[in-house]
Formats: sequence, C-alpha cells, structure tokens
Amino acid sequence: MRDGAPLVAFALSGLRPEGSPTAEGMRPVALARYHDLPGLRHDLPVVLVGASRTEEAVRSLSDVIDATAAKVGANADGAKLAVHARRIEEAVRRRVAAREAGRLTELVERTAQESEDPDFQSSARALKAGLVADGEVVDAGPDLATSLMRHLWRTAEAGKTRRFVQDAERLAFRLDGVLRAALVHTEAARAPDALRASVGTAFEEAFDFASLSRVVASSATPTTVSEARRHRIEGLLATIRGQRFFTNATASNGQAAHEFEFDRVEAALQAVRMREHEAVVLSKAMAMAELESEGRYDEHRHDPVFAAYGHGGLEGPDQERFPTPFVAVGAAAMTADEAEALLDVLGAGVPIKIVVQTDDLLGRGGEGLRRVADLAFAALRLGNVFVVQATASGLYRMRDRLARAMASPGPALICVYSGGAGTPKVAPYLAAEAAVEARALPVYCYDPTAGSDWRSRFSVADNPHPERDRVPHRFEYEEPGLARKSGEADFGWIELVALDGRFADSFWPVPAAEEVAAMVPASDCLDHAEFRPPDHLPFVFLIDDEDRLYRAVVESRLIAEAARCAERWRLLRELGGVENSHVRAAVAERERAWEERSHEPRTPPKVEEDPAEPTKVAPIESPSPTEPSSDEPYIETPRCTTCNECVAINKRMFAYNANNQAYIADATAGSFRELVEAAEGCPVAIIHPGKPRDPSEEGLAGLLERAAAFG
Amino acid sequence: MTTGATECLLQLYSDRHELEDYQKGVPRWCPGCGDNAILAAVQRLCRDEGLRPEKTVFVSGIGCSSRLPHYMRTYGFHGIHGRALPLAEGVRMSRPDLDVFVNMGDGDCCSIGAAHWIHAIRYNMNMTVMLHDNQIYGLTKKQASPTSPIGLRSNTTPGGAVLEALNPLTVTLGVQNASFVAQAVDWIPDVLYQIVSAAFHHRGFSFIRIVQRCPEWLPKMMDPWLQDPSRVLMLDHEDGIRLGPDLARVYKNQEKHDPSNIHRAREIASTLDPIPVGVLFRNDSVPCYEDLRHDDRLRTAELIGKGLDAEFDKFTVWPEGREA
Repeated sequence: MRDGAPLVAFALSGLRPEGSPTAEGMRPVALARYHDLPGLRHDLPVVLVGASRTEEAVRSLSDVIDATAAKVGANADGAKLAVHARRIEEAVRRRVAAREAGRLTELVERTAQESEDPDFQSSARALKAGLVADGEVVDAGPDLATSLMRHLWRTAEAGKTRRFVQDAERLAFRLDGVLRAALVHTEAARAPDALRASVGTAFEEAFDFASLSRVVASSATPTTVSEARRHRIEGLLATIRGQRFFTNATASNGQAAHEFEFDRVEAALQAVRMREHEAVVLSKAMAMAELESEGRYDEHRHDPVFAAYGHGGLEGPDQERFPTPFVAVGAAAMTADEAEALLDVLGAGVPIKIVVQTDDLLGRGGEGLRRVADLAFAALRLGNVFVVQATASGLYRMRDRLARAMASPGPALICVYSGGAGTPKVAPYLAAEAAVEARALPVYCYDPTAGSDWRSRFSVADNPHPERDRVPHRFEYEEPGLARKSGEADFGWIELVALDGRFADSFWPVPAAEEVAAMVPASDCLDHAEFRPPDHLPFVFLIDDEDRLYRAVVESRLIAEAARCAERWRLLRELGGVENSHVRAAVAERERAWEERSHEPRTPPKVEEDPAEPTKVAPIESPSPTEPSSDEPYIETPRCTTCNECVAINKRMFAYNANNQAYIADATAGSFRELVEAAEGCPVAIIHPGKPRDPSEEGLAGLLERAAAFG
Repeated sequence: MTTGATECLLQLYSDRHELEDYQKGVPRWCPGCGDNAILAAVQRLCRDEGLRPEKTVFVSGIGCSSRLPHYMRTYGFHGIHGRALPLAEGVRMSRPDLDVFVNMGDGDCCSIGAAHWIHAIRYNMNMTVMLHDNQIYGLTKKQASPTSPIGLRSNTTPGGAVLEALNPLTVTLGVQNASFVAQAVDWIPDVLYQIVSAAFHHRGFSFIRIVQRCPEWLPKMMDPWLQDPSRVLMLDHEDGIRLGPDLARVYKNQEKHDPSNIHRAREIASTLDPIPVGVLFRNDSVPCYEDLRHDDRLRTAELIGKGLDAEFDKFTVWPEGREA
C-alpha cells in the first residue's frame, strides 16, 4: 500500500508528479474481448441492397452470407460450404474494415482470387453466383451513416418515381387517345393523303382515295372535342411530359431532371422554394389530366377551382408525390446560424431529410456531442419532425425506423455519431457503441406518424438495458497466484473518456501493490454524493496492451461530467416511459389507496328496507307491418318482384316506389275490376283489392266473389 | 385519410344517380318473369352504390335472361351463347376500372357454357355473376335444360326428363378457388337485393344462383315453395345476410350458417327442399387472376402490335434464309 497523497492531489486537481503513469494505450476492461473485431461476427458491415422497398434495402453481411449458404448449400456439400462461407465472411469483413470499397460480389471474387485453395475458391464462386442480395458493403466509420441513409432515401424516392412515371404515362396515353379520337373527325384526317397513309402501302393502288375522302367527309360526324378542350389537353400533356422532378426518359424539352441531394441545408431550401411553383403547376396538370382522362372535366365547375389551385402551396398526397430533398451535413462544419436555419426549415414542415453527423464526440470540449444531441432534442420539441438519434453501430438495428424516417411524408432529422475514423485499438464500431453504452449519446426515435401520443411516438428501447442508469459488464481475471476471479464494472461516461487517448492524463492506473484503501469504484461516487476525495478516490478498471488489469484513479471533474451525462439519460428515459417518475408516483398513490381500503372493516352492502320498484322495461316488440283495414286496397310492397303486371293494367292506380316495387298510388284512379284483375295476375299474390268504392260498378257481385280469395 | 385534389374534386362534384338513370326501355319479358325482379335488384344496387353508368358493364350470353343488358343504361355486351364469362373476363382484364356484372341463364351457363363456367370459378376474377335459373329453355319455347328436374315434360323430353338435375351450387363449390357462392329466389326481393349487394362487395368471382319462375312454360312449378315459406331455408349470418324483422316473421325456417364453413356449405347446397337462400360460402383470401397477372405496362398500339407480331411470327413460313 503506497502513500495516497499524490493520488488524492491528482483526483482533486488533476495534478500529477512527472513520470507518473497515465492511461495511454489502455482501454476499459469491458472491451477486453474485442481485440480483433473483424474476426467476430456482428451486425456490421451492411450490404446496401438494390431493393424496391426500404424495408429490404439494408441487410447485414452475416445475414446475407447465412441465407446464401443455406440456399447454395442445399444443392452442394452444405457442411463444407458453411465453413468456407464463414471464412469468406470474415475475409470480406476484414477488407471493408481496412476501407476496401466494393460490392459484395466483387469482394467475394477478390477473396476467391487471393486464395490458393481450389476447394475454397470453388465455394467462394458458388457463393458469389448464388448471393441472395448484392450491393455496396459498408462498415462502421465516417461513411456509413451517410451512405446508408442516402441509400434508404434513394430507395424511397425510386418508389415515388415509379409511381409518378406510371401515373404520368397512363394519363398521357389516355389524353393522347382523346386527341387521336378527335383527330379522325377533322378534315385533315379525311383528306385523301391521310386516308392513303392509314391504309398502308400494300393496298395503296386498290382504292380511289379522293372518292373515298368525299364519301367519308359527307358522312362524318363533327368532333366532340371542343377547341378549348383540345388546347387544354395539349397543355396538360406538355406540362406532364416536360416535368423535371422525376427521371424522365421522355422529357420533351431536353432539360435535365432536378437535383435533390445537397450538402447544405440552405441550398436545399433554396431549391425547394424555387421549384414550388413548378411543383404546383405539375400537380395541377396531373389533377386536371385525371379528370380529363375520365371525361369528367367540367369547365364550368372546375375552371374556378383550378384557377385557385395551389395558392397556399401543395398539401397532403399532392405534396407527398414529389421528391423530398436529402441533405447530409457534418456537425463540425455547421455554424450556429446554420443550425438555427435547419431547425426553422424543419419547424416549417418542409419535407426534407437531413442527416447531421459528428465524427468526434469529445474533442473541443464535447462540441460534437452537444451539436448532434442539442439539434435532435430541439427538433423533438417541434413535434412534427421524425427524429432519430443514433450511432453508426446501431444503424442496422434501427434500420426499420430509419427506413420509415426516409419514407415518411414529412421532415426527418437523423443525428448520428459515426465512431470516428477509428484507431488500431478501437474500431469505429466499438467507439460508436461505447457512446451508446456510456449514455453519452443514447439512441432514440421520435416518429410523429406512429400515433397521436408521446408513448406511441417516442422510444428509447434500442438502448442496452434502458431501465438502468449504467450498463453492467462482468469480467474475469487472474490474480498473481493464478487464482481465477471475476468482477463487475459499469460502462459509463468515464469509461468512454478512458477510451479516447486524448484524455489519458485524466487517469492514473495504479498497480495492485500500490492501491490505497480510499479507492472506490467511480460508479459508487456517482451514486453517493458524499464519496469525494480525500476519503474516497474514484477508480475505473482499465487494461493495458497485455490485458493486465488496473484500477485507474479518475480526476474528480470527470465524475461531475459523468453525473451531468447521467442526468440527461434519466430525462430521456422518462420521456421514453422507462422509470417514469409520474407513473411511479401514480402507482404509489394507487397502492397506498389500496392498502388503506384493505385495512377498512368490511361492511355488508346495505339492503333497502323498502326496495324501489324495479324499473320496468317494456318488452321489445318487433314492428309489425301495417295492415290497412280490409276495406282499403293495398299491396305488400316489400314482396313485389317488379313483374310489371299491375302497372300494365293501370299506371295511375299502381306505381313503383324508389326501389321499383309496386304500391297503390291512387285507389280512386281505377275501377274495382282493375284491382281484382291485378290481384289475380300478380304472380306472388300480394295485391289485396279491399272493398269496392262504387256500389254501382258493373258485375260487382262476381268481382267481390273473385276478390274474396285475396283477403 | 387525406385525399388528393383530384379525389376531392370528384367527391365534390360526384353526381347522385337515381334509379331512372340506370333504366332503359320496357323489358320484353313475360309478366311475372323472375328476370324483372333481378333487373330491379341490380338497378337498385347500382343506385345505392352510386355506380357510374359509364364505369359499369353488364355482360350476357343468349336466352331470356341475357336480354338484361338491354334494360340497363350502362355499358352492356349481349354476347353469344355460353360465352358470357369469357367476354366478361376479357373486359375485366383489359378494363379493371369497370364494375363487371354477368347475367346468364341455366342453359347458357350450365350447358353450352359449362366449361367456361368451371374455369371462371377457378380464375376467380372480380365480377358479380348471376345465374338466372328457371330450369327451362324459355326463349326457344320449352326445352329441358341441365337444371330441369327429373321427370319434367318438355319439347325435348316429352316422356319426362330422364336425368337428375345438375346442381349449380354443388358444382361451383366443388371447383378449386371458389370464393363466393350464394343462392336467392326471385320472389323475395329484399333478400335478393341483399345477396346481390354482398356479391358485389366481395372481391372475386361472386356466383349467385337465382331460382326464378318461368310464368310461361313452368307457371306452377315453384308454387309449393312460393306459397309455403317453411320450404325456404334462410341462411342468416353477420358475414352473409341478415333478415329484417318482417321477413324473419314470415320465413321462420332459419339457420345460422357461417359462410367460411365450406363443408357445411356443401351440405346445404345439396339440399333441394327446403330451398336454401343466403350466402353459402365466401373466402376473401382467394387471389384474383387479374391481380396475379397484373401488368403495369400500358396497352399502347406499339405494345399490342409487338405482341401480335410475335404471335404471328410463330406461324409464319419464312422465305429461305430469312427466319425470325
């Protein structure tokens, strides 16, 4: 046990004697297992697949290799192929970790070429030929977030383009048809030359087209398409065919399509504003064309509506059909004004997808962390913005949420920490995941389309152990006597700082022989405000290059920063409904009330001495059909089969109702004889003649006898 | 749900159609013919569903019943004997925006058109199919049809029909992909309307056998069922049709039948007396052929020309040295 005074001084002030050990080259003990990350299967790298749906556009390399091996292995030596597939996967993972770019097929091919084992080469080629998905392979690092988000955005936009082009071609085809149909009624179409052209060369000499022209001209009907309508349709066709919002193979004006990918928010906003009118014109043309193609455009009704169309900008489905701009910006390059402008754009509801990425969380006093975290949190307050805070390591796990963000109709902000460029000891994936585990940059998603309440919209479920303040890690080590021991260490803010070589001076690794009694785990100091130097010296577990375990004393200022980090995490967690204080208080109140009730003496329910007369409920009676008196003639109308028999006898006496079923419209409009004859002729016997009105009607006695059969 | 400008405008100015908007001419059917009741039911359905006449088509074959399209102010196709279904399938395939109704007689559907009928069930294309079954060839003046009961004397069976009648319900329920099978009688108009409506709302091949009277050639044949409500078995279910209180009081012979139960549906279909009325079977999950074969490509003149050329080329005898 050494004299603890220098450690106390270090813990209090960061001052240290010259030559005292630092954490240079050391790592938190939780990372002891991850010396060689590419050798371990994990969910990165990802394959950016050319799919038609965003949900299928991102797959992990392991997933693709497993699915391919299962598919190819079914027709070959499955066991050998499975072993080779794992080797190929590892080789590909190492290549992309070393920043080698390429599609999966290319990377597998290069792997095959570098091997001298014919069996392995054969497996690799079989795997390559049978790949269930192909695309660019991207690992964690500065490129991942932008590449992945851009890919998802392009996939979503490609769907929009497909739908628009399909609609536009359909409408153009139908409007063309209207014009073509109108053309045949014109004089030009009936001219001899036009008739000759329509017959073709094979029978050119067989007809006298001049005579034919005279014949068809004399019998032709005038066109049903007015000049105004023809002009309108031609204008609509020109607008639709000349649009520049979507890739347009049939663009009639030769102009290139608009660009929708930007690296500055202002540029994107400027483009949106400049194209707003163009979008309104195109949207209006599509709406008018839809009506025209159905033959339902009514100038009287629709002209005034379309004259005012889009004055307030496009909304709803009319707006959603247009491309949304995509902006990828680096947090480091962003000024405060730009950040403010970004929030203004999002707040205005402009449909735009923005990715803000930081590669350095802790440098320059934690500016990178603050920029992304503050931006994301500020966007949350806007309420209408799809917000995702993520790190490169979690992008694959959050792919469904990210896909929704890119496909959703409104604005979206994705704030990402890339994990940096990585160091030989700490890959970007580990650095990014460490930021999540340390709660420095918790991942969350706010999806305004998911429901109307906060619970449906906001989730922190993608964080490890969201119910806890810190993420615990168990580790095993050997003591000098080779005794096997195990310990537990939380991974928090201080461990994250220890991972960054720039802060090695903030740690003093203490060899076992020199530990002092005042050393306590840093997590205890976070949980107990009174645990402060000199009585308590916070430490964290670090390992060196050779995996020797140290307790490293930490500067007290890091404890204060860690406490602030923990506060931010608790706040987010409450928003996410985990360990929510309001809920806890409500539950406690309910429990207290329950406790109180359970201690009250039980009293039998009071019995009224003179119970009130139970409310009498009138029996529900089925409505009975109104049966008129037998003196009046009537028809059981619901049973009428519309046979026309009665209305053929007397149209004024018998008539059809709105459902085309007969009733007696006017009993005085005909004779009793007609009523009796109608009753006799009715195939379903539903006409009841009643009693005669005119006692002097001829043959009444016989009629009454015949009528008796019908009640 | 939000809607685009076009949809809003269409809703804003959608025309309200009255029954008269679907009526055309005076039916030439005999007084008391069940076809009148069927016509009234479909006209009422068109009005109640707000079907646009220019987006509705009635297709028929040959026979008394097949005159129905003439009396509808919609598009109509009075086809050839037994071929109503292939025509309707063609309409459905090329114009998926139209509501398609098919009206066939028992001779039309179950005799000369039987092969088309079987395969149309299997194709399960979205259309409402009404089999007007009066159990006789009426237009040609009383010849036995496949559904004529055994012993029926007609001009072709003067000694009485020697074969058991074909049961259109059991046949339909026996074909793979059957998705909607119902039976109605022409003399209960409200139930007939409900069944036609349920069939219209089912997406798929909705087959309704409508037992109807022929007042000219078999005037008394259905009287026992017409006059005795207990000889009609009403199938009541929330997924089928519901009887109103008036009808429930008259037609007391009821069974709660779940239309998803095909085994019970087959048992019911085999019952000749009492006549079951209602939805016997429905399965909304059977895919429609037009959806399976859906093609986004526009049927432009170029595309059609290319397809025809490709087909003709298969049978072209090419000059030597100039093959396709």
